[in-house]
Amino acid sequence: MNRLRQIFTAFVAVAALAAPAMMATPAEARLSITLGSPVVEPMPFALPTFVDEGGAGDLAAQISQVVASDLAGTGLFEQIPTTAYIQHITSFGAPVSYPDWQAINAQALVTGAVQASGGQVVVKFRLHDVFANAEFGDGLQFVGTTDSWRRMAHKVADAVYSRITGETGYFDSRVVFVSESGPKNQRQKRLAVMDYDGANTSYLTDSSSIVLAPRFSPTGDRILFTSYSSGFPQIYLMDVGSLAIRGLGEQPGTMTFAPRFSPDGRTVVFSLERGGNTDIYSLDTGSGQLSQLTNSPAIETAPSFSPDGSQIVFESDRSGTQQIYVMPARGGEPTRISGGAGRYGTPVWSPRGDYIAFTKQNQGRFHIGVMLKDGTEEKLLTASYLDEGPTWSPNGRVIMFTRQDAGGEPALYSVDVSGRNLRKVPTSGAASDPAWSPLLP
Amino acid sequence: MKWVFRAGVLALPLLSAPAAALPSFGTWDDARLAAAVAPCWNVASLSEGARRARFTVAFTLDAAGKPADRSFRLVESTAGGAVGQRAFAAARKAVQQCGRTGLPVPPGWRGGTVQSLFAPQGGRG
Repeated sequence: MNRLRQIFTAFVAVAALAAPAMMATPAEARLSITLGSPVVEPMPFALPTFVDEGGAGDLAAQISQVVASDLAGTGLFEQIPTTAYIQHITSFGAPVSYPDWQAINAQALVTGAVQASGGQVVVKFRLHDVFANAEFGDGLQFVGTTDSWRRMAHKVADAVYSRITGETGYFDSRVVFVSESGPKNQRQKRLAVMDYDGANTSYLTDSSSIVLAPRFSPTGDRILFTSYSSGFPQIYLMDVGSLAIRGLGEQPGTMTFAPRFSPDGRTVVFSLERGGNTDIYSLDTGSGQLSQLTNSPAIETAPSFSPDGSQIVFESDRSGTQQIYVMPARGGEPTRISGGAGRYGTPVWSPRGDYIAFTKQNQGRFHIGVMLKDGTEEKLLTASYLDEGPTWSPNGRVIMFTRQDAGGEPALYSVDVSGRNLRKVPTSGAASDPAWSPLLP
Repeated sequence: MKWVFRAGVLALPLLSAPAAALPSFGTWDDARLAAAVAPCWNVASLSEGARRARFTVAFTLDAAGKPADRSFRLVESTAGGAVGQRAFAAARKAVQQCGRTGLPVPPGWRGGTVQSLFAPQGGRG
């Protein structure tokens, strides 16, 4: 009897364990659906002011504002006004009430805290996937000096951006540009550098000579530019740390301009004008060896390397109009890739390698556009009286360029590679020729 | 003893005839469910690769049409690695967000699996 009781008890136990599954048999019911049209709208996020964990004072609010501004400035995210928040975050370690954030439709929540003492700042944050009721990745913290608080804010924003989009960010980066002032007939142009968002501007040269087309090295520690300090355009190399300047590729009786680094930073390509003809040359910055890459009676300029360093895209009027060509990095027969109506110039290869950005002039309008590296899928992103000189963000998602309205002053603008989110970049005065740095270390 | 025996017997019919418990949803329009999820499928923050990914996600909906957070799984995808995961995360978020108060389910639905194909054909918004 005891044996029978054991068998029956075991049977009941198995039945009890199986019951949920069996009771859930209707869960085997199945529906199949298909979705085909996604929404493309900024993702709502919440970012309560970071908690002051001691000594932070206004820094906590300032860092919070920069992080929120970075994210919202992409056009991919939209900050929910803090007045709508139901839960008030007063402690970094306090549990998050996800229903409260779901109720205001926040899809991402960034919480953070700031601590400052002895000239050092610690910023930490957590990203929450609100509708998954969970943290999105581990918390992170950054440590730096008080005067680098904007960089730390940008780094937080880069980390949040990267986790959500799966792409690297671009907020902790700088832009070198030409700051312009004075009347048209006595224009003064200086090299200036600023955070990508227009903050922290400082000047790298005085206004004693005209400067043009600055370009960062791949590591961001050197800048190439063209100066008229000798009376003719010549290219120069500046050390960003010391601001020391030296000439590059100086050849008697020539003019050099439009320089750009190779991806490994060892080679500079540029245009060299000799006897009325302009070709593209490369200079090994270590050995000083100069190589001619094109040999055509046309004007060939604006060279830009592919990210793998194997090819160079440039502009040439060898066909009779200004068009875009691609050639091997060591020179060789170029292939024309632009084919639409109008004139194409200032091509710049995307850091991702997929797109080439360019300036296009057609029917009295200027455009910033992109095309694939074989010239297909041309897409014009902007249109105005004068748009020119595109430069890519370090992640290849955003393009900055110069815009000038009729009779107006030049200014810097940025646009997403999709053509959305056209924004003016704040600068203290007229500005042109932007060049984006790589992400800072 | 008899009580124990009856408990065992009570469980047996469900084991032997599960099909009988399946409700029939033949007249129900699946598009209602798809339409309820679609407004929350937002790909704005995704990379180009993730936006173009075509993939199938399975998840369970309870009797009230609410998704179970831990039930989401990627069945198949044209994009692998981090790109595929970002695309999957956006789809999961869409179902969770629009399903917060319950998605439309067929009459008689007592919970079950939904298999959803996300096949982007261009954005809107």
